[in-house]
Amino acid sequence: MRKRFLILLIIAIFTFGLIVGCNNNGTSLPEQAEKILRIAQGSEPPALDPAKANDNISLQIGQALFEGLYRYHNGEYIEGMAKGEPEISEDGLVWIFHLKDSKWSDGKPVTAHDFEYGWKRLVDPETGSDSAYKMTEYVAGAMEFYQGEGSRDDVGVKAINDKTLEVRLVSNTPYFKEIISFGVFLPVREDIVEKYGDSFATKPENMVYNGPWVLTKWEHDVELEFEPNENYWNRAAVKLDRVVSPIISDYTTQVNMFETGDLHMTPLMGEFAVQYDKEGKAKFIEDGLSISVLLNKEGFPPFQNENIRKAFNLAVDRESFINNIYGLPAIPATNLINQAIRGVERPFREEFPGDYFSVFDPEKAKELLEKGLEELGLDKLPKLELMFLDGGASPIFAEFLQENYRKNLGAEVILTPISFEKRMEISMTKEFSALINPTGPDFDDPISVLEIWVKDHPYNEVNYNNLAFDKLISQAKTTQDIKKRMELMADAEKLLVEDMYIIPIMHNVMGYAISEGVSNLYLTPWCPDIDWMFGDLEITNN
Amino acid sequence: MSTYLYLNRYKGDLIMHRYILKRIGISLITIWLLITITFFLIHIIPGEPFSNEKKLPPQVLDNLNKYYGLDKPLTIQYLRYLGNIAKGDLGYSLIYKGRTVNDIISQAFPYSAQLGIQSLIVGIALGLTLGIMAALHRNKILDYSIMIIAVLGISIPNFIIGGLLQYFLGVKYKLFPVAQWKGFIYTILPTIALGTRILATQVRMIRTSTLDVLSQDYINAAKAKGINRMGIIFRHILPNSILPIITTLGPLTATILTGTFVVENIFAIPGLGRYFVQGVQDLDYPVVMGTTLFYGIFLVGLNFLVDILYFFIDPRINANSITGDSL
Repeated sequence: MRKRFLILLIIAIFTFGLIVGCNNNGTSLPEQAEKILRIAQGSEPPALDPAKANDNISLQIGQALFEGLYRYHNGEYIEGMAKGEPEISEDGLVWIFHLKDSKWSDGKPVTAHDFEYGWKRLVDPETGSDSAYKMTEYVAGAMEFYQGEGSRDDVGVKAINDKTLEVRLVSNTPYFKEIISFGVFLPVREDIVEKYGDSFATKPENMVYNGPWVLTKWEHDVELEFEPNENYWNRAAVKLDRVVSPIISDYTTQVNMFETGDLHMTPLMGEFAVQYDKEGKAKFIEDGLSISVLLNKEGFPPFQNENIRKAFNLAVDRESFINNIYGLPAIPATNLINQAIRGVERPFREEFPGDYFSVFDPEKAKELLEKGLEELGLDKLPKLELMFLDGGASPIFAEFLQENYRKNLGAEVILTPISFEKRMEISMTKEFSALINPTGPDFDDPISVLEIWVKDHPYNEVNYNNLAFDKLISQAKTTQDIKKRMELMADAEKLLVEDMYIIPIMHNVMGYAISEGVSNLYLTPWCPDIDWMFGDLEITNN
Repeated sequence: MSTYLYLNRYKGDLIMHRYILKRIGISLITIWLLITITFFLIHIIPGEPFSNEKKLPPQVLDNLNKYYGLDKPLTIQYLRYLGNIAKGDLGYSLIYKGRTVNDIISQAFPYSAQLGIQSLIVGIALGLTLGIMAALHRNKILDYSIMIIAVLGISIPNFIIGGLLQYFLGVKYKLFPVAQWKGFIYTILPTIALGTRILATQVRMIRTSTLDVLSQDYINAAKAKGINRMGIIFRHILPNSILPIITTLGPLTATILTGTFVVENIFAIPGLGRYFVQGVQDLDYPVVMGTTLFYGIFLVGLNFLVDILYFFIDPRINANSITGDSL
């Protein structure tokens, strides 16, 4: 009897499968009358709470849903909730912002009190924010409050009235506007946070919006949907009717969905980037990442000699690596600051080209090496250990370097792949000889790249120590005149490169493919990397 | 019913009850061990949950650790965790702010379960059919072809099968959607990708067990009685050769239903699979613990169920032989 039951079960399973299988015969996309932009996200946004967002995806969505005083858009800092430029006190320590008349999505006005609450909440230790450090460095009293020593009232953010916000700074910070354009310096509504408590900003209905878009659907791990915020002060700038963001973690799947028209944009990496580039369908922008090699004189004493350091620089055939091995149109670097960072009016790199050395010169390298060895009284170089993060393009670049140094300098290089954890450890212990270092600026100002190389900075991994450099940096940090500042920083960069403890290799690029008909979609080298807020779409007939 | 039979039946029930109680006890201990070992292992992994993406200043890390209770000694954290589990509370994710692990599992599991059930049905049904066919045509072309399929199915990784299906049937011929999970048509490619693997692992086992059944006397007897071929296959071969599958069905079902990272990732299915892998990468302790615990309970439960099932299905097994007792 039981056996018969089993047989029946199997037959039932087969038939069920067939019935279900015949039920659906393909789906057809509905006629597209609305302008719907489809852009994938690589993962679920970890946090839409402005105080907790600290990753590319959360910040990308955050910039569409919320608006701070200023925002970065298409290479510029444009007005957000702020009206005009801030009033800055003579010593640069007090900044006063005036707010526009604007409303939240629920109709209540956006006030300076919302900013005061939002900013203080960011550094409140009770909030558990990952990005509090963005503020503690700059705003007076913020660090003390965050560390549990100061009080909330001593944090230097104060609403003077509904439309005026006063901010007191720790030190003169001419680039404070750039700092607060980062997507955590946002207004937050106290009543909404109180109402929802722990579940604030975990569902579309548990938040209010003051940005160009509102979140209408958040199906975890599946899809997010956005519609224009009718109360946004610049509603006319929002052109699309809807934005749909499916969550697609597999990168190849994103490319495939782009191919079938299910997505309007896809990032391109590795082989795909090369292939799309050949077909002329790829766009490349600098992704903000620059590759350099750090030389540590404590780990490898011959690096105390300037000629030897310079030899290691000139022996690298950057162009050959980029063209023959890397495949993407990266930019060979003779400097440390990439093309995307702004200078006085145009990109810093256009105003200060920074060709600090010839990009490849094996003869000169050989010569410098011999001179250096002579100065040190050495016959030949000891073995050099080169460390690199085991992942991405670093391993092939490490091999390329090893070969270059062998061929052009006769130097023996041992390669040591390291894990991310080990890399973190090295930034504390500074125990290494040479290290491939992919890194990028935190914000759009040359100071972000340069300031870590002053003496005793925690991230100064090569223990670079040059008084002249430190002096230029401290001047640049406090000079209000932007032209003067940029000149100071160009001088500092020149010093840093010429001392050659950091060998610049290349400024990396990131490839994208974007559907035809999509406009005003901006890719930025910063986090967040995609800006679709004011994008537009031509409706085509297919 | 005679008294003798009744008593015998009663004795059987008693043994069964004792057996079940004993198994439940062992299962609970297994799960406790699983929790304990996972808890300490995951904390041994170097790194911190908040230092994965970028360098955070030390005071930020300190504050975050304090906020999430990670600054307490490990034993205190462990005891607290056990206490919370007893209440059914798996805690908050460290990465996905404001989402509880209970939420994550209850949202993601249905997707994984649907994909799993579909793949199991397809995989086992086809595996059975092909396995029996191979055995019946032993050492002939059909047998060899099926075995080649089985070997390929096992040796080609899932992400290649999935990727090929996606590219050819999705991108090139546009027969199916490339990815996502918005209706039955979306489930077909992932079901094939996952089902192929199940099929491949089952085919060989079924073939072997069918060959074993074919050499039994009762098959000859059935043939001698003049029962036709289909009758023999359905009445005698199928029910008997299915037995070894049932043993593997417990762990297989537990693994498949709780999500498979690779297939779910390729086809953008919002299932549980990614949380197993991503959780460890992110050192999202509560997520790792929660998903492991969930899988563990599932596995232990299904194994238990399979044992009980055996008791009913296979007449050669009785209460005495499972418990090892002789009353």
